[in-house]
Amino acid sequence: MEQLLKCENLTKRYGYKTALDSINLNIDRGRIIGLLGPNGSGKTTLIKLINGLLSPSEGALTINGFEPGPETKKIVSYLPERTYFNSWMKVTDILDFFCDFYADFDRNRAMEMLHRLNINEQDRLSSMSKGTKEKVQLIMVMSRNADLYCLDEPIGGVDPAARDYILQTIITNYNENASVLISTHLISDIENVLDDVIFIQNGHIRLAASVDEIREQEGKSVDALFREVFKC
Amino acid sequence: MLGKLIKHEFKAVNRLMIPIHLGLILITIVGRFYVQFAMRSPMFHGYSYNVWEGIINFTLISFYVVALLAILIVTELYLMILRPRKNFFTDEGYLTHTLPVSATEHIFSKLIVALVWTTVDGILIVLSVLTMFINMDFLRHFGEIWSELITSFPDVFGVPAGVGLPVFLIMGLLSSTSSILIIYMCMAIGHSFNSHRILASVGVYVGIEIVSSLISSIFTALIGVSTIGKSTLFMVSYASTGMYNYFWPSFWFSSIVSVAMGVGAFLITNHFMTKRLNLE
Repeated sequence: MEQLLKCENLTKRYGYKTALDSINLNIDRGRIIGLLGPNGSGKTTLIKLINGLLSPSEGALTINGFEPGPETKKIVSYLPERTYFNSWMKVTDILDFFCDFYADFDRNRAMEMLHRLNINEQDRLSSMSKGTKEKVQLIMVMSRNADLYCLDEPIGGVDPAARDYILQTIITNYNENASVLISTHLISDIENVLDDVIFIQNGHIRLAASVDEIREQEGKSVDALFREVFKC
Repeated sequence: MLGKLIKHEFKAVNRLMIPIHLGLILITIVGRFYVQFAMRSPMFHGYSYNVWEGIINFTLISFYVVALLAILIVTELYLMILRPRKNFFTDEGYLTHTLPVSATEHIFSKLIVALVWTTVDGILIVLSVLTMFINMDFLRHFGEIWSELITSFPDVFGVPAGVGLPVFLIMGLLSSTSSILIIYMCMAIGHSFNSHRILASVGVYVGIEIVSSLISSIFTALIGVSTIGKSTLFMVSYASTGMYNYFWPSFWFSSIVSVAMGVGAFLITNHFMTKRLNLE
């Protein structure tokens, strides 16, 4: 099977500002990876490049051997850090929309999760709180049988109880051929579910290692290591 | 996938398009009854003049005209600028551009829906005006008026109406298609900038207008010198100056200009939406 995600000398500049600087990175299948770094380190830029919302200034990025495009969008499920649904839509409209466009969307799984979190399918998004909207969006994204899930700050706006349920959902919903890339600052909350971590700073990768390696070699938790590496 | 995009595009724009066009129909029906009623007034037959009746009629007619213009402008503005901009280049773009669909399909789905609704809008506005002011006299003489229109057509345009009218329709379709694509192109270029995106889009549009009017005036001058002394890009001017020998040359010229600009605009939009996408 092809390498799931491969970045070679990936560079992205906005005008004079370099957001990502010659990154080389491979992501294998069957892993949950934390993409960790301070604000403005390039996490969101990397995720947007993976999803074809930005184009690289230099270098290349392939997913399953393809450059970002309609082919890769079939197998990448993306949760952006903002709400992207029209507020007039009802939850059922969104379910229809995802069913129509994503062949891998599992409607039953989505409905089950919606019921579990007490979200009514007939509710309009405009009548929901910010946290509820985020839950709906995350449910849609996790109800696809994708190869790569890119979750940008998935748990920032939701309450701790729902946070646990969502993390549980993430762990149970992906299969051995799929990987999950989670970008967040809330490291201690997700540390237990991560297999690998990538530390990113000023557009450079500071560290890419498995959580077990960090615990063995450094003798500390990812959260503690993060605070040490990125000490202000 | 194009079919599904069109389906969802209709679903989104119908939320505004259906109510405002139902409003148009309602205004037309109410207006028609009022016209019927006003025509019974002695004033209408010139027997007496009441200043208040005059003011009311004038106000209502102004209101009707403003309403028609508003519906026309809202339809065009929404379909050609607001909806595509929001769906492609703001937060909604995060979903739009992560669907497993090519940029070409996105552009065509928006274009087709915009063309369908602007056509419906145009037809309904014409029907509304006709409904408002048509009367038995007009209907009685409709046959004569129509055959007069058909027989005099070749005298002005140089071809029979059966040829000329479809040609005008084709030209109208080509030029609206290319002007919609040019607007998409301006937005796609403008939104590839890192800041001041709306300003940049407008700037690109103004720039293109200046360049294209420059080019067309050069063409006009060249053609003018070599052929008829005075001409413009537009058929109508040919027609009104009685230049009926130039029906086909001007048809081909303006069609080729529309097609070339439309294709160019499409290719550039497609490029900017695949290679230069820059969502905030």
